[in-house]
Parts: sequence; C-alpha cells; structure tokens
Amino acid sequence: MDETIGDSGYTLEDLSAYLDRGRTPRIADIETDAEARAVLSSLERFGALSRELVERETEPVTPGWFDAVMRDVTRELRAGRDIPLAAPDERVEVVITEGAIRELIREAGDAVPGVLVGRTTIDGVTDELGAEVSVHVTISVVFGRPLADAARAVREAVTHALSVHTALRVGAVDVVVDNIHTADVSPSVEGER
Amino acid sequence: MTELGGAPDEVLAVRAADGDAQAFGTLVRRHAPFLIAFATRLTGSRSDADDCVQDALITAWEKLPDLEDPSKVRAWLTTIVSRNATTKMRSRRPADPIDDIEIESAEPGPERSAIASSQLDALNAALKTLTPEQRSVWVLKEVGGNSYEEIAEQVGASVATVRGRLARARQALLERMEEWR
Amino acid sequence: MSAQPEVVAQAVDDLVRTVAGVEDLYSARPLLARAARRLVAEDEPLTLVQSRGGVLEVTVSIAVAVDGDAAADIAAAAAEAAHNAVTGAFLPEAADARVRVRVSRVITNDPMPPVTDATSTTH
Repeated sequence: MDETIGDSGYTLEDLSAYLDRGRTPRIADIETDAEARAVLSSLERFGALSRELVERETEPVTPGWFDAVMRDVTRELRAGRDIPLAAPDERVEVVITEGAIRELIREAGDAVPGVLVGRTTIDGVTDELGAEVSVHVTISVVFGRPLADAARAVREAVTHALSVHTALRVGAVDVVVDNIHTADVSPSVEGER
Repeated sequence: MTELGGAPDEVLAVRAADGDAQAFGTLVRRHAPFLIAFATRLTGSRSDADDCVQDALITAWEKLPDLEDPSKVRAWLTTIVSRNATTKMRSRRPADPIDDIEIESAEPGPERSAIASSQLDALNAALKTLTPEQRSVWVLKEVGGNSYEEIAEQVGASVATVRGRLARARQALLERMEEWR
Repeated sequence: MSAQPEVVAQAVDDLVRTVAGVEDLYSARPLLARAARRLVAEDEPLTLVQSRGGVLEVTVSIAVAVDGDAAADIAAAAAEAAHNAVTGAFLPEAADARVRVRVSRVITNDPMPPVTDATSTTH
C-alpha cells in the first residue's frame, strides 16, 4: 500500500482519494502516468460494475410489501389546522382541514390538461369564517403546452374549487411553472430513475 | 385519480410533502426496488434489507416537508436507508452469521438475461473476499454515493479510517480482478 | 342510566355514514392519542365522544365526495345526523351536545381512468 504506482510518485491510497475528489484539480503526474491511469480506470470500472450488480438485483415491490408501507403512511394525512367551513348554529361547528383544502387545490389543478400540481401554499388563514387568503401553487406542464395558458386555466380552476367548497375568500392565486414533464405513456415500473 | 407515473421526482416529492399519499406511493414504487437491492448488498440479508427500507420510507414520509432540494429525493432516501442498514449491522452480535448465501442463491428469473456477464460475476466474487468493514464502505461509496463524512458518521469511524478502508478495499479488488483476468 | 360514550360514538359513526356524500370516516382523535391507542383497540369507533362539564362533545372526521353539492352542505347534513344519533341515545347531556364535523378530505369527480393504468394505489 505504500508503494507508489508507476512513476507517478503517488500511492494507491493517494489515487483512491484523488478519484473520490473527482480527479480535480488535475494532477499531471498522475494523469500522464500510464499505470496510474490504468489503475484509476479499473477502479472506475469496478464502481460501475457494482452499481450494475445492484441494478441487476432490483425487482418490483410486491403488493403486500407496498400495502404494508402505505398503511403506516396514510394513517396521518398531514391534516394541518382546522379551518372554519360553516356555522349552521351555535351547537355545531363545521371545519375543513388545511390538508383537505390543499388536496382540493391539487385536484383542481391536476384536472387541467397537461398540468401536474407541485407545491401548494395558503396564506392568511385565520380562525374566522370567510378569511381572505392568497394561494400560491407551483405546477409542472407537459412539454408543448403553452405555459401562460396552462397557468391561467389553473388559476381559474383553483379559484372556482375554493369558492364552491370552502368559505375562504380567495384574493390572489399565484401560479408558477417550475417544471416541464414529458407525456407519460406507461405506468411506472421497476426501478426507473 | 391523477396519473402520476410520468411525473418527475421533484414534483412527486413536493406533493408528498404537502400530503399527497398517491404521490408518495409512486415514489415508493419507483425507488424501493433499488433501495432494497442496495440494502441487501450492504447487510447481506434480504429480510434485514426489507426492514431497513420500510422503516426508511416511513421516516421519509414524516421528514419530506424538511427536504430542501426535492429533486434530490432519491439520494436522500438512499442516505436514510444507509443509516438504517449500518445501524442494523452494528447492532448484530458478533456471533450472528451474516448470510451471504442469500445473495448468491437469487434465482435468475426468465426475464433476466440467460448469459451472466463474467465481469459482473468476477466482481461479485471479488467483493466477497473483502472484510465486512471494507465491503460496507465500498458499497456506501460506490453504490450509495455517500461522501467520506457521511460514511464516517454512519459506520462510527473517523474520516481517516474510512479513507484507509476504502483504499484497502480497492487494493484487494485490483489484486483479485487482476488474478482472474 | 347513561350510555357509554363508545356506544354513542358507534351510533354516530353508523348514522353519519348513511348521509349522502359522506364517503368515509376517519379517526377523530388527535394524532398522538391515535398512535398510542392503535396498539390496543383496533375496533374502536372513529367518532370521538367526550363529556366536558356535563356537556357532550362529539367530533366526527369525514371524507366527502362532491358531485355538484358543496362540501359545506354535506358536512352540515353530517352534523345533523350526528346530532340525531346523540339525541337518540336519550342521554341527559344530549340536548346540549356540541357537534364538530371535520372535513378531512374532499373527493372531486374523477375522470375515467385510462385502461392501461396499472398503478392502482390503495387509499
């Protein structure tokens, strides 16, 4: 391990650390030595083979395994705060959770062709019925769909959904396109990146 | 329901952070196969790997709102799995046999290539000649993509020790692969 | 004679489920209490019934499927059903019972899923 590799003047431990630094900054004595370069390229190849070994061993998860994970996950649906929805009389309180409102916004935006909603944020929520809020939504649009058009359609859909299903007064609805995606042809299978 | 199969990781991660269970499920289907294979390679046991990955995914659901760069969700998941796997390995009593045979006896299914690559098999065999500590740091680095600092924290050693172990693992692999050429 | 809160809670569960537009019920307990209890009692009613200072407090958590109806209207109908279930138990506290309906999920109309969709997820 203390032997230097070729005529580079560097040991294998040095080359190992150099490799892990991404071979930068470039060390000429290493890069111009044939044996040192051969060692580095072998090590890079072993790394790639290792990743391939693991890829070779991937297989889709079984429905039972999947369900066991999701059962624990969906137990807590990230409800957030209770937001007043209606007040039919004094003994009855009707509220809607922040989580439900977020899902409403997501579904309204998803229903617009070519759009996938990303993050939803609601500002201005209070304990009062009919608070005025502003909504911020990020979306991903399918490649080829005019962006401003998609954003406008999402703004309208979200405003409509909130006015029908909540008591909130919707001020501004900010829609930001922060992603483009390609149309999906087949469902997600196996370990795709 | 919205078809999420083609959604980028970043979109799925922010939706899941906001509470979309379906988006989280899509992330699980997409990444769990790799995570399980990675954990199996690391721990040497498929059932330990299953536990590590299930726990990691439940943690991930809780902590997703804290993930600053949603596009890195796969690397983030890998780190959580690494942590669980190294913890599990450290808590094994020395007498517990690590069942490497579990990896070898995976039957190639009809959908797998009938011709196994001799290079892959050679590396597979070479990896078995490493000590468990060397194999761990190798897998954590080359397959898990962890930094020296991350590996050091996970295996409970210093960065210098990790660097040394990795170099010795590489030395051993070079020698084995050279012998068998 | 007073009925157990659990019996009342079960009555609320059953009656609220019959309301048009109520798709599902969720546990009305706060999360921490839920996590601890799930190890003990899997068959508990989902509705939470508590007696505070002689007044019954009933909390129901629902998912609504909207199809033209507003979520608030379905929730109000659920509140009325909950109140009926409570007064039906003939408890002295029932008349002044306070009912809280929490809409935890709003399910809007789904378009037909594509034929090739194999990613059926459980909810």
